Amino acid sequence: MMVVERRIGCELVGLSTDAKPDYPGLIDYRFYEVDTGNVFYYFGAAWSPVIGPADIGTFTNKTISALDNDFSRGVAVDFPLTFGYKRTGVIMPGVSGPYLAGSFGGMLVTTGSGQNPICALDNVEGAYQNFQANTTGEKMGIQSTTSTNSMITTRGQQPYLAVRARIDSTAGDRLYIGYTSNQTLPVSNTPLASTDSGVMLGFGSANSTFMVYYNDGTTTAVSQSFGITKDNNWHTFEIAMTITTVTCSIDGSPVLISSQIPNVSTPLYLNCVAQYV
Amino acid sequence: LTLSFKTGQFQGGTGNVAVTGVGFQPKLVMLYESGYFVGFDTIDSWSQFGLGAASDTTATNQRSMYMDASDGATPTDAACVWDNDAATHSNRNKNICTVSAIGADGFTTNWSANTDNSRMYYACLGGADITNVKVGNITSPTSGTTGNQSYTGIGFQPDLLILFGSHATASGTVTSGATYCVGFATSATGQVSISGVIKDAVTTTSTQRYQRSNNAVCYALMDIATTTTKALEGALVSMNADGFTINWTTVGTNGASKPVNYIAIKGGSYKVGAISSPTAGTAPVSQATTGAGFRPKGLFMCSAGAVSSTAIQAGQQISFGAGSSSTDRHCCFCGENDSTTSSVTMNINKSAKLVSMYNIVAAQASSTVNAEADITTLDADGFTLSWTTKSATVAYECIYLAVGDAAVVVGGAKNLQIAKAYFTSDS
Repeated sequence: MMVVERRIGCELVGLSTDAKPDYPGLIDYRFYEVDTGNVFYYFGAAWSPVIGPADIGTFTNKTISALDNDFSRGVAVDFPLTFGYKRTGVIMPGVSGPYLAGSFGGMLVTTGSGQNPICALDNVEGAYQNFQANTTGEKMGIQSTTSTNSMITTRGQQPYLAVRARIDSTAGDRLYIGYTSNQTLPVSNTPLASTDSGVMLGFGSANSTFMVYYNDGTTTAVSQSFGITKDNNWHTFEIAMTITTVTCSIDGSPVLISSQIPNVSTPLYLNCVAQYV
Repeated sequence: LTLSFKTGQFQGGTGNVAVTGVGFQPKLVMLYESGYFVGFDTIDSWSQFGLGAASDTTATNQRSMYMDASDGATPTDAACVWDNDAATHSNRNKNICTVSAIGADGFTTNWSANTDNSRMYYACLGGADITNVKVGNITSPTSGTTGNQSYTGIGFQPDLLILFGSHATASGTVTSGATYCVGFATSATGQVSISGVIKDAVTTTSTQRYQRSNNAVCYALMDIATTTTKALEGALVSMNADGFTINWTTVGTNGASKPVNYIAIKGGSYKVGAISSPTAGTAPVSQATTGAGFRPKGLFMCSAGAVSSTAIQAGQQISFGAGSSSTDRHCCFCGENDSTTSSVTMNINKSAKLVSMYNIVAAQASSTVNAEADITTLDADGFTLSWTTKSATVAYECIYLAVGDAAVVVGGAKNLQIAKAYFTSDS
């Protein structure tokens, strides 16, 4: 048993089991727990942890230098399967279709008739995967279809999707990037039916601007314009779902959705698809 | 597949003169010069400019134009020449050559006349990307016949047209008065041109320049009689399966039935455009140009030494240059001042600049550079120049043609292209 001792100035030392003194004259004092390493600061009403395991907080609004920090070797994750582990997948442009079979964890790659998606080079964007179609009604891109060829998640899993893409022709075509509870995205200007849950970015053939479509499966889906004229330029499409909201953005312009969004437990299937109308 | 581009310099001689070090077998040889009479990088008198091209070693598949005006002359003494079977025909029949051989590392010129030991620059294009090249000439319509004219017989649909010529009509015949035009065109929305004129046999010089950068004109000749009006002007309407269509908007008496030389190329990537020299900053000033849509392998740049305008401007000047890197670029410049009682001219071949413009004075050696630029880099989507001399008040407009590898053709009728995608969820 250790008795709380006063060291120099405003510093107190004791054990975590010791009762910390509590009176206004201790403002600006620090308390060092020698058995835990915690350091507390007295701000006039209570002791607040400032250093050590008791100092729990969310690391937000900080910039971590990729140059000075190597997380591949320097960060240990405790209990990765129950804490901090996420299911993650990418599309990395490759030379031909077979490589893409493993993209996003094995989703079906849908292309035009009998053609593999090929890898090409854009002077500014770098390598990209080209999904093509030659006949109306064909779909291009990454498409969920069956339970064995689908990327499935729920809003409760707080999924995040980012896609850098372009469609080379917008006239009369459709582009849908996002999630739907319908395991097979319809070839339609209505990507989300009234019974479908989901969030989709893109445009239908009748739209002049980029849209966000969303629904909770209880009524007619909402079609909301981003106010950005659709075009054939490269854009970054993002959808971030949380327990309470969904944030969509195109090139960093966000739209926050907090109502009529998918239930946290409704299965959602991922698609990055263009439809040749 | 690639496109290859190289510029360089050589000197004419007697008979065959081989030019090596090109690094590839040219499919097009372009020859250009202003200061052919004295050494490279030395100011000389006379305004003189020549441009020619050869797609093979057959003389009848080679074309050239040349114009000049003597210095200190009263009355003025200006002339031009067109040649339909030579790649160079300069100084009023004194220097004439054809491209007589093309090999793996260059070409050979054959000089049937070489009074001046001509100092020449060349620009060569080659590589597998270029599938077709044809050099020839069309003939402008008869006087007053405006509107669309389609020209056939090219044998392929061009991706690029380079048009050049003067008002001279009879091949190899020195014609009084100096006119010229050089135009670059890729489509109805991609065309630029530069023109000039020097009137002959007048006691007060009458010289003009005319540069169009707004995709409205691919070829124009100034009227040799008036100098301040146009005798011929047209815009590219379309590239066609076997040629191209030009909409002639002006066809005057002095622009009618004139040979218009063309270089037609299929294959590769091409971008025409215009920039202006920067006025801000202290030289050297770096200037990046983007929007080419490809990484250029080579660059042509011309300037009439004036600010951007759709109007005819006083004074004749032309800078014509080409380059492929910070160490491979050459330009020539010449000009004659307007409204002087004795002609004030100069010319120079510059071996280390892409474009150069001068303030011409009567003592040619005292003429000073208004603005000039060198190539810094050819970039992913354009090019960066270093303006080693510039004006703080005058933005000199330059037209350019960037050439590069053919675009990689991917995909089908419709294409979704994904450069990168990332997905994560808790489980």
